[in-house]
Amino acid sequence: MDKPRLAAFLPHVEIGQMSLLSGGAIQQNWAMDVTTQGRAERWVLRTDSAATLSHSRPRAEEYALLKAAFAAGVTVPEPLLLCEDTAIIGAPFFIMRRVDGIAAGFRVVKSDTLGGGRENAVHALGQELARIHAVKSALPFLAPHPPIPPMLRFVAEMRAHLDQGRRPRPVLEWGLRHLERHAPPASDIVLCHNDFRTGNLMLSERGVSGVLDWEFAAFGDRHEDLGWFTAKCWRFGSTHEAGGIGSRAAFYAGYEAQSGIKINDTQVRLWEIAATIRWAVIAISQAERHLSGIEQNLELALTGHIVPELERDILAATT
Amino acid sequence: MTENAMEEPQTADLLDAARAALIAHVVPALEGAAKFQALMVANAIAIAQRGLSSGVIAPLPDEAALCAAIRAGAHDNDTALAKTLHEYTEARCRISSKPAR
Repeated sequence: MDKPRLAAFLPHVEIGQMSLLSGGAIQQNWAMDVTTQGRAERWVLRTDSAATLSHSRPRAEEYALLKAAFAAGVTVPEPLLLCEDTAIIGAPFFIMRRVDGIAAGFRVVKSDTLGGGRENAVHALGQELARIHAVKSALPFLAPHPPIPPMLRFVAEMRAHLDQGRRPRPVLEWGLRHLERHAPPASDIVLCHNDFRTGNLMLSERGVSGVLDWEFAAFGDRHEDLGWFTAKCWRFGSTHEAGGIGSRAAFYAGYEAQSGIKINDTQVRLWEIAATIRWAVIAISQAERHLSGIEQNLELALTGHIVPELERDILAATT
Repeated sequence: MTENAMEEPQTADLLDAARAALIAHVVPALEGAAKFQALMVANAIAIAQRGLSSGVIAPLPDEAALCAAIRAGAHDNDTALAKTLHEYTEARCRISSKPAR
């Protein structure tokens, strides 16, 4: 991190301590303690890692999404400034206010008090997701949803990934065929976060402190986001159905109270199967990075071994 | 079991001992990222051990053709195939997943 250049770019800001925060194979997050207009503030600088995935959104677009969400009342870290000039720190970056709390999945699901207690936490998370789905800002860089039912779009995308894989995947094919046969007809298209799950949701003892990681947001079916959150693979071993944190009923109640829209539980359960397939496809591609030598790394290698258990979950839900 | 003139302790015993030493003596001395790496090493050894002792998992007959047929709808409601997929998946899970406690 080129601190002198950054300091020159931020003339009215005195930069104190900077340290790399954990997490983020795709992005780097730097905690910054600064003084501006005589006040001490705590910021986060977010920029690209070397290993940025090609399908991840450019920082400028993630910043625009964060601004739209903040304006719509979603609890997100307040976006402060964007810099697309790569001459400052070597890559585009943006700065947001730092929020307090814990996001790490294994810690969140063990706590009975985070987010104001399990039921409060998932109720509030349901409300947050409803606020995201109500975002109406113009975001011209987002592709319109193609004129096919979202679940059929999903099936086509996943099949295209499987066709690139190094071996056939009969159980994933089985699951995709199930989704194809049961796909709901065209539905309301809303702004979806697409990674709204335990691990990306910052909770403090008081409540939700921030919905993080907006880089996969796109237009889609609201039930896709709901099912990504409630899928078994994102419960971190906990038995609580809503993200490993609390009850499905409280999560749905929060969503319905905020949106005024009745959730279709059957559709959420189908999207949970989709979530399991999506995570299996991501896990396969992470293992592939290791196997191909692009990035030899034990964590990526072990991620591949999640796949059989995901396949077991898919079969349990479809046979 | 075929007799093996390899000096003892042999492969499986050595992996056992290596993993036990890692868990008993290395992991407790570590914190943070290093501890996480050491636990991943222990997990990788455990998966490799289960893979060694279970031997080869046979792929299903002509998996590529099977996948194409599933995709084309030729196996909708095929309960015999569902049972085969369950068995195949359980065999794969016995190696890749931690045994349930």
